Amino acid sequence: MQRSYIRHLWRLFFLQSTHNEKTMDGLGFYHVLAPEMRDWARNEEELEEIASRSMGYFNANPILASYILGIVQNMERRRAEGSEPSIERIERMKSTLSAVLSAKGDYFFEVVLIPLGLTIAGIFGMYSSYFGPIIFLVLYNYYHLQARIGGYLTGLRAGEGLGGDLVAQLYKEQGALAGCAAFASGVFAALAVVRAYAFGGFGLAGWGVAAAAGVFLLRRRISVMWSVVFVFIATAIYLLLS
Amino acid sequence: MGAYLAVSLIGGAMALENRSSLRLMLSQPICSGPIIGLALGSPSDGLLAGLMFQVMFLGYVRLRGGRQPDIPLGGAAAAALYILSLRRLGGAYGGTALFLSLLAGLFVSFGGYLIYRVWERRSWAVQSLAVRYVLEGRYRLAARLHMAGLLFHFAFGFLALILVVPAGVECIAALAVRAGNGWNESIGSMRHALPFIGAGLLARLYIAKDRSFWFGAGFLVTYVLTLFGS
Repeated sequence: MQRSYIRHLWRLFFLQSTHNEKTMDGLGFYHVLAPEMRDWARNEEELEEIASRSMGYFNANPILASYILGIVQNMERRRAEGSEPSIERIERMKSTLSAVLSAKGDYFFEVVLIPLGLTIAGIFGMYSSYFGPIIFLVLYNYYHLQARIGGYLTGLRAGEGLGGDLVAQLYKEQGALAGCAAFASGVFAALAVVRAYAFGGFGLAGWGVAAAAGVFLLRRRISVMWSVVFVFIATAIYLLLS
Repeated sequence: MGAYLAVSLIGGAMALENRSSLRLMLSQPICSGPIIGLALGSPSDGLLAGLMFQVMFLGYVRLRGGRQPDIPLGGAAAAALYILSLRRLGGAYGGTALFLSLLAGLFVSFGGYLIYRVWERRSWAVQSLAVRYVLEGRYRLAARLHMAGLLFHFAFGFLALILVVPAGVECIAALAVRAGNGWNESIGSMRHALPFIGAGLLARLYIAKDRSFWFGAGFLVTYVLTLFGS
């Protein structure tokens, strides 16, 4: 049993290997559940049906997808044992949780946790300290591995009963962490001003503030890549001319 | 040649980590920079290049379905180019080397974005092949096809760096010498100007998300403390 868990968990980490525009992570979803599928089917036709169904559209936050995979695995097991959940119910649970957990996971990990960790790493990095990347990796992976491993095992144990409370229970601290992330961003911005002023006086600090304002405004109109490239080149030209 | 091979292997591993959803975040430039530096015997230069690349994208939020620059690969390329070109130049022209390495890293990021746009459109073919295998009863082969995607990610990162880094080092070294000391001194202050790009993106992220109070508080507290501290 333990070996089976490890096999599923290992596969969870490669969910997006064949991410595509049509079914998103459909093949990844199948790949995670594949080792146990034969146990759920009574005959070859049913195995083919389960496999084809698993390959359908699946679009979820890759970290919180662990909960969904655990829950679906639990429901498929119970269905194979002759219990209640119907195919329609499993599919409905999968699509509902995908939508809800994607919104939750994208906000928590992408908007709050990663910028927070990277800003802290950036602050330490400004002083040539290696602690920054270490703090970032520890902070991020604490939540990441907890969601990946703990989420899968919780989903597998609790099954569909988990669905209702899951979103309300997850990451209650996200508001506080978002405040910390904004505060750390302010610290980073102030340090950038102070260090630029110390190194290049008012001219460099003033250009820096103008560059920050430029990125802020450009980002409303164009993609992040072009905003960064544009301000990067403008900064180089300013430095060469000044 | 050994250094280029080591850098390319790390680049492949970083691309795999980033694209497969392994997502331990080792591929973020601020982490991959020191790793590449460690492999090349100069972790502090790796940290500097990785940090500078990272701070330009600090407030960038990666959302599924959105346009995603390949920041990990760009950061790895920038770190490798900076360390190796600095070595080539005997430690001189550090400012110019950093600027050109970061610029090359930005191009690699953009290249990665373009390649993965095509991959995400075409990788549907991999899934339809897997569906065919399932219908033929070859379930294991269908699952293995998914894992074969990892090879593509690794190969892309490996090839990108083995092609870009050796040529890039030559170009950066030649351009830095040609530009001379005047350029180097002017562009040397780039490392103090780049954090503002990240600060602008962070301000946009948190002011738009209605966290301007905390952003302002962090700014003022730090500014006042540094003012009194000095």
